[in-house]
Amino acid sequence: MRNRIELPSVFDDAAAAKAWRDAKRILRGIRPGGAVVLDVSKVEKASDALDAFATVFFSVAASHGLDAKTVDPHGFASAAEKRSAERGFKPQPRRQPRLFEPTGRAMYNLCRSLADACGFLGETVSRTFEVLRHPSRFRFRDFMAAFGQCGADGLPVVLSTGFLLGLILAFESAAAMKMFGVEIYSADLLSIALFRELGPLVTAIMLVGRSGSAFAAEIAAMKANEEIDALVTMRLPPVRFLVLPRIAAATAVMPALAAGAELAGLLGGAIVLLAMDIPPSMYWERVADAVSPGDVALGLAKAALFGLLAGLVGCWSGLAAEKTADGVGGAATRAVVGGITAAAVADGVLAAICWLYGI
Amino acid sequence: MADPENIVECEDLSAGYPGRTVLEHVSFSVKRGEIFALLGGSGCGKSTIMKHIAGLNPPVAGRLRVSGIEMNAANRDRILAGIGVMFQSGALFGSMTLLENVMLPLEEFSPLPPELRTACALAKLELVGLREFAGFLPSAISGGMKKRAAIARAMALDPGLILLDEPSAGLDPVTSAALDDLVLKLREERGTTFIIVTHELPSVFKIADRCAIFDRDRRGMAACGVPAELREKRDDPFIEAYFNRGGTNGR
Ligand SMILES: Nc1ncnc2c1ncn2[C@@H]1O[C@H](COP(=O)(O)OP(=O)(O)OP(=O)(O)O)[C@@H](O)[C@H]1O
Ligand SMILES: [Mg+2]
Repeated sequence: MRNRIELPSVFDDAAAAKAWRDAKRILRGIRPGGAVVLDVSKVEKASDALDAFATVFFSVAASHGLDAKTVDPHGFASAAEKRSAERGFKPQPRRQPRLFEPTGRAMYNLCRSLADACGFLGETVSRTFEVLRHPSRFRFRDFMAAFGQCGADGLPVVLSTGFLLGLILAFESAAAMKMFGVEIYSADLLSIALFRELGPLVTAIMLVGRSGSAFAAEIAAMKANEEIDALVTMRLPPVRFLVLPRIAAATAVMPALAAGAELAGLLGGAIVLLAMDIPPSMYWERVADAVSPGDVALGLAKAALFGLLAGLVGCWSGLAAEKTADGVGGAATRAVVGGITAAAVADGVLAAICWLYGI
Repeated sequence: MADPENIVECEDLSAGYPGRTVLEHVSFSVKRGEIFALLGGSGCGKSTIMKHIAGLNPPVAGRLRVSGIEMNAANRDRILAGIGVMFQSGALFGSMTLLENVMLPLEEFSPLPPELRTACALAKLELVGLREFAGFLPSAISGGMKKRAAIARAMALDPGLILLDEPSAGLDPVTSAALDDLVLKLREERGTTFIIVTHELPSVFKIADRCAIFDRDRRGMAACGVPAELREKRDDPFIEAYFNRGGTNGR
């Protein structure tokens, strides 16, 4: 008979592998509604693979809409048969490619996480007011710890990236301007670009990568360890306890880090221009001329805003994480992607506002 | 039917998580000053019930009253003021020493001046035998010690109701017996109510006034009553098997 799967007398894992290849071919060849027989009567010695084989055989047969029977005098496959009988032989309809369900589900999840994020923002704002009214409720020690962590972690990377950025910008612009003999003006370009745009943005990217992800990972790990639940049962609101100190630290540390990056960048530019025989005194004079206090203030304010966003996104990723060890990694990734996106979007919006109002 | 004697009242409670009901039609109540054990096989929903009582997840359906107040988001903090919780995992704050962990609730809610707070926290650690380890981080102590430190933290504010999720898991028989004695002592001296999730039948017979047993197969409560009486019950195979699986367990 064609629709018969016969198993050999010694059914070990190797035999199972071969038998399954044959069985798949046979099962595929039968039309829905047909019958198939699993013949176990020859089997004398069997490993656990037989149970697994029979289980999968029944479930595949059921999903193809086949009537599956066994010849099984020794009862090797009876456990699997019973299991599949309990589940019922309902042939599952072939899965239609669905359009509406996944779309709807994705929309629902999106709306849900948006709503959750709004709730988080709302609570953060209200807790901020609470802390402003009762400063003693601010976890100052946690703030200092987070501040030190952001600053110490961030400073070396921020200084070196700032320096390299200045070096590259000065070199590229000076190389072009040299054609017109005005390479000194690359000092203008460099300093304005650094103070108004690139300093804060690059620092924000570094802070998101180092500290935003660390916030998310710390909070997500606390969540996995039920520490957040413990805070709640101790009536310590996680937002006041974990989020506010970190956000405040990120906001406070960013202007300082950005200023460091900007100065390092200027230093890089000075070296490039010195190599092009422009004396440092002239360079610094141009820089001081080009940059107004307003530019500096704008840059630092931007930096603080980016820090706030990095902290918010990092903490939110942590709080929204899955309660598992996997959730920690996912939270860190989301903090980085979300933080950089938020900084970029905010930068764009600010640029538009500055342009509109001629700042 | 809010009985002032009852500190916890579940009425036809469905326990679980959003989209996943674990137990249905659970009704029991815990009297003030009682030591109440939650029993049942692994994964039957004991911790889930515990989390409902601690206000972490809203009940899926039914009513839950704690300290005579309906448990919901608005009342939660008022209820939690009288509850100390020890989680199955301990849930100590990893960045703080044991002393800081125990101090935390005191810092936030105790009217005591700082010097007395420290002494108070140290006394709690002493109760669970961890005074010498006050300066250790949770990562530097053993699993059983974490459990005990977590119990000390749950007791920090001398709550009237203490929830312990498997306090004796991972403890040797001597320490575990000492813990039982501590529970009895606190109940004796302060009238503290305990709700304890445990798998230790000897300890149940020793300290628990009453217990509830949950059955995963019927997704509900199998029985509620005095442990020694339930053990003699012969009409429910599940309960019989539960108490007598090891032949002479707990006798
Ligand atoms: N966060 C969650 N979301 C959804 N389901 C959960 C969650 N936590 C636990 N469960 C499910 O709830 C059921 C009961 O879990 P619970 O932790 O209450 O068991 P337990 O009785 O405490 O077991 P144990 O004695 O092993 O601690 C389990 O089947 C589990 O899969
Ligand atoms: Mg549990």
